[in-house]
Amino acid sequence: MNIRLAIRRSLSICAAAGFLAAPARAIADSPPEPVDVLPTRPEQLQFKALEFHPRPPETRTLANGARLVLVADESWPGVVLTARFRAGALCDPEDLPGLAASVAATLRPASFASAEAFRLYLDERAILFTAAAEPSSFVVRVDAPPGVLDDALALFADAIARPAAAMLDAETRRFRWIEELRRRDDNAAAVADREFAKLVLGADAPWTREAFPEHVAALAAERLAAFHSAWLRPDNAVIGAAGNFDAEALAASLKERFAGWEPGAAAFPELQPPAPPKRGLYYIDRPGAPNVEIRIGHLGAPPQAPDHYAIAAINRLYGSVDLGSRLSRRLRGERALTYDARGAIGLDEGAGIFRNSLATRPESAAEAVRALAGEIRRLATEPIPPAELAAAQDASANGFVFAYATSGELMENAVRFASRGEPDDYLPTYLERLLAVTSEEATACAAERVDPEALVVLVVGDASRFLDDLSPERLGLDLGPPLRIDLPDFSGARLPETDEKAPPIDENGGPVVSIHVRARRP
Amino acid sequence: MLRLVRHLLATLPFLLAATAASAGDWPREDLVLRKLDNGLTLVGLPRPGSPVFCGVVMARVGSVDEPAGMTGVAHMMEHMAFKGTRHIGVVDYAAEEPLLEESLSVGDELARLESSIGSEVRGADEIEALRKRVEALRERSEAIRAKHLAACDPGEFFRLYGQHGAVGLNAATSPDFVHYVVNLPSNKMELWALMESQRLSEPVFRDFHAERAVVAEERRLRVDSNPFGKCYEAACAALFDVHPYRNPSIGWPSDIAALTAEEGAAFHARHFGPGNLVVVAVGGFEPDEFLALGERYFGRLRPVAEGPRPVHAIEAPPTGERRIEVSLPGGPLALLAFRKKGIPTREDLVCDLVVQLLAGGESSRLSRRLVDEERAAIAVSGFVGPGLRYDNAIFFLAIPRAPWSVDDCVALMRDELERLGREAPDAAEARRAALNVKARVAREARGNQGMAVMLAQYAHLTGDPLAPETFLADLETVTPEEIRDVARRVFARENGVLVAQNPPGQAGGGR
Repeated sequence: MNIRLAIRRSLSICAAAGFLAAPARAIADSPPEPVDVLPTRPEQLQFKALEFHPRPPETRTLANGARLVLVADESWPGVVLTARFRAGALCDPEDLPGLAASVAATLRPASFASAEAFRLYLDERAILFTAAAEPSSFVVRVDAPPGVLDDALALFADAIARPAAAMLDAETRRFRWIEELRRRDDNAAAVADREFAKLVLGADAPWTREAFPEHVAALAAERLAAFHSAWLRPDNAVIGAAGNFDAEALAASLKERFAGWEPGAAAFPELQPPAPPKRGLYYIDRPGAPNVEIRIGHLGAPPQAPDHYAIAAINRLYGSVDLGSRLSRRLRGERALTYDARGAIGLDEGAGIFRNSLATRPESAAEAVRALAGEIRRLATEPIPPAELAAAQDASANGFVFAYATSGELMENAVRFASRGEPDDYLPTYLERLLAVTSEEATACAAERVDPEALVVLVVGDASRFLDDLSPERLGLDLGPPLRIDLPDFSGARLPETDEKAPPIDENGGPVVSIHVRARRP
Repeated sequence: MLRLVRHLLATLPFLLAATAASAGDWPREDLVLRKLDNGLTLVGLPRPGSPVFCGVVMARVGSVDEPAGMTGVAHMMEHMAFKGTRHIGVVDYAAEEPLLEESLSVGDELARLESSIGSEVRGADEIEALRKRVEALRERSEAIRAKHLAACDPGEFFRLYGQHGAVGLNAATSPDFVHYVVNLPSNKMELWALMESQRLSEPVFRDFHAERAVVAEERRLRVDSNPFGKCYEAACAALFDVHPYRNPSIGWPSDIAALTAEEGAAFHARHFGPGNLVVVAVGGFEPDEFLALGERYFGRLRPVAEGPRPVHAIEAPPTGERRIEVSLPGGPLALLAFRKKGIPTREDLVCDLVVQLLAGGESSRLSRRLVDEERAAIAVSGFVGPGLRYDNAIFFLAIPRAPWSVDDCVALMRDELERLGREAPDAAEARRAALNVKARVAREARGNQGMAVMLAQYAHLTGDPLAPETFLADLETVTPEEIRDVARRVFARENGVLVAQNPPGQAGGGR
């Protein structure tokens, strides 16, 4: 019996029985060991099939259109509440990038006179309240210990349906945000990620648009309120709860608390696919940096790509966090070039980027680029061996149960997929579709999606230690001479308003300055 | 900036454990505990109905146990445990063994030779001769490495776990402990017992010297390129004169470069014996199954002849505040640290509340003062480190907001710290701090992995895996006056270390 057959057979049995199961891996054909000898290899073990019957979430829809996903679990201490909206950073208005993140940073119920009063209330009950703006989701989450469910429900519903719009919060946000901008280049990996995305997708694309000091200055309470009013609406929401509660009672409570919350959400923007980037070799100079960060790639596949499952399988075998993936094996294990090498053809939340990344010592920069480019060429041009694909599919099949492992994860997944508009059977049938990918399909997908002749290469680090090495001969690639990217210097950015509580600004602290990114030859 | 703060905090070792654990339902009646004949401790916590479990193997060894000149060797052992065994990662072990031995021996010789150049004064001719020998050895080492790698499969250990559905396969080294962690479907417990016991009993240090280069990359990434990593390393080195808590768990760069496989093997033999191990599983399994597999697989580990020696290093009383300047690309940071007593003292318990009250979240005193009222910083945090096995330290970090400087933030932080040493907090504030410490630990214990790591740690530290239950109950007995008195003692100026990070070319100091 081979591995693939074992997995397929287990799946079909489980599907027929309505179970979720992580099937046993194939047992080797070798004769069994004597009972008194300790097995030395996994093939000598026999694993019983994993039978597991997750309770399906209860789903309802409120009269105002909000969908509910409830997972009651007596063994869970406390309750987790999640609201996920089809809105996020991609809904930022063109004149105010960062607005969604600012709403997340300042969101609180109107029932509290101040942010400080709200925080104290949370602390007195040990409740965690968070809000976050992802590219295409806005998420509000409350994590409450046992005994404070009513308080948690009240502040959750109030923050969503009856938010505060106090001027003070916008002002506080501005003061923190401007310092975040001043420090935005502190982390070399973050700089490399941001600038690489701009090179691939375009600097003014919806996925890469950046906030500058003038945007911070323009943030006002009415802008926060307008975003909230446009997007945090029931017809745009999936609300989940997991934990120790009675589902009927909780649904009734949510209905009551969200009464009066009116539908009318704005339509999620329709985004045009980005144009392919121009191939090229770029660098950013960070004098004194002990490491270089390298990014290589081009446009990739968005999450809704028709070949999603082939890409998911390739991502796993090619460049996942797994130390057994190709990039880790070759660049870390065999060549000791890096601590962490990753790569994926896309499926990231956004436009989709074929992105390869690693950090290495400056003197190895050229070797690392060459090695990564070599792996990219191999992926595009050589067949993906069936055994390598099968191992990646095994990993997904056997680990799939983790998507259901706790009531919290079950609920969060159900909310995420419902918010994305996936059908109800998306998760239960996901594995089947992933396992159906053949080696021929994966090979064809890689050949179509990966173009070793169209690479964008970005190297970030101390240029005096790597620039001379970036020759076509050393890289094995001719992308033309390296182009320098100069980043705007926000370290002296100031808010134009007077901050009476701050120490006096020295004479050199000028007005807000915005310098846009440009590329030029050295 | 939240992203930066999260990134910074992620680098802190055992942050949560240092604040002790939570109230509520600590399932003592469900806990399975067994000491095997070879000295190994098994701890199981079944969670019926769960389809998965987390397995943790924790050795009571960390950077505190490293001999001088060998810092980073415990962390190297963490890495080598993924390189396979005599049965895993093998093509044909009999054929591989001579290549393996030659590869390790040539690599060791090269390491010794390389580390002998440049550290001690020598004549130019002697150095030239040494360089020639290094060059020749390097060529030989690369040739033998290539042959060895062609005769084995060092990635198989990781790959096998992955194929069986492992999630979060990882390991970590702190000053106190090395632990290996994996989450698996609950029908794979025997796989876990086989893989974990085998990598302890029959480790093979495949490609040791190349992995050392990977560790050097890790250090460059996490410490040398990271202003907070550098500040934390500098603070520990200044807090402790003689105690090995002064050394970073990843090792000093020149020590990493000079480590040999021979030293690694000797360190492993002494510190990874069964008497120094706690093996924990939390999740969906039957207690009898766990104990039977534990006995069968981990029971075979042989006790070691000579085990670890406790660290004997008592710090002299502090003689004055120490200030360190760090200058890396990146914005300013202010890190204040103070030495304190460790588990199981009352001072340690009270410090859990002191950290929470001063820097536990946005309604803490430092956050309200520095971030909200003065707008001098955009974030503050507090934690206990660098370890738990010995007397340790309490740290506070502020991220200044321009034009406020590091020293401005330090002055404000000191003001709050010293105020707590003068005036006892009101009872409601102390109660709130205790409630939130408990809730935080309860959240950590909710997941299988968080609970497993906590059980392993406290089994090592106190002999009682559920000791957090007691600590958390004891938090209720701390009085506001005790908080004041501990704050006054710990936050004495002469007891402190200040680390100021400013970007190159921008000197620190106040306005």
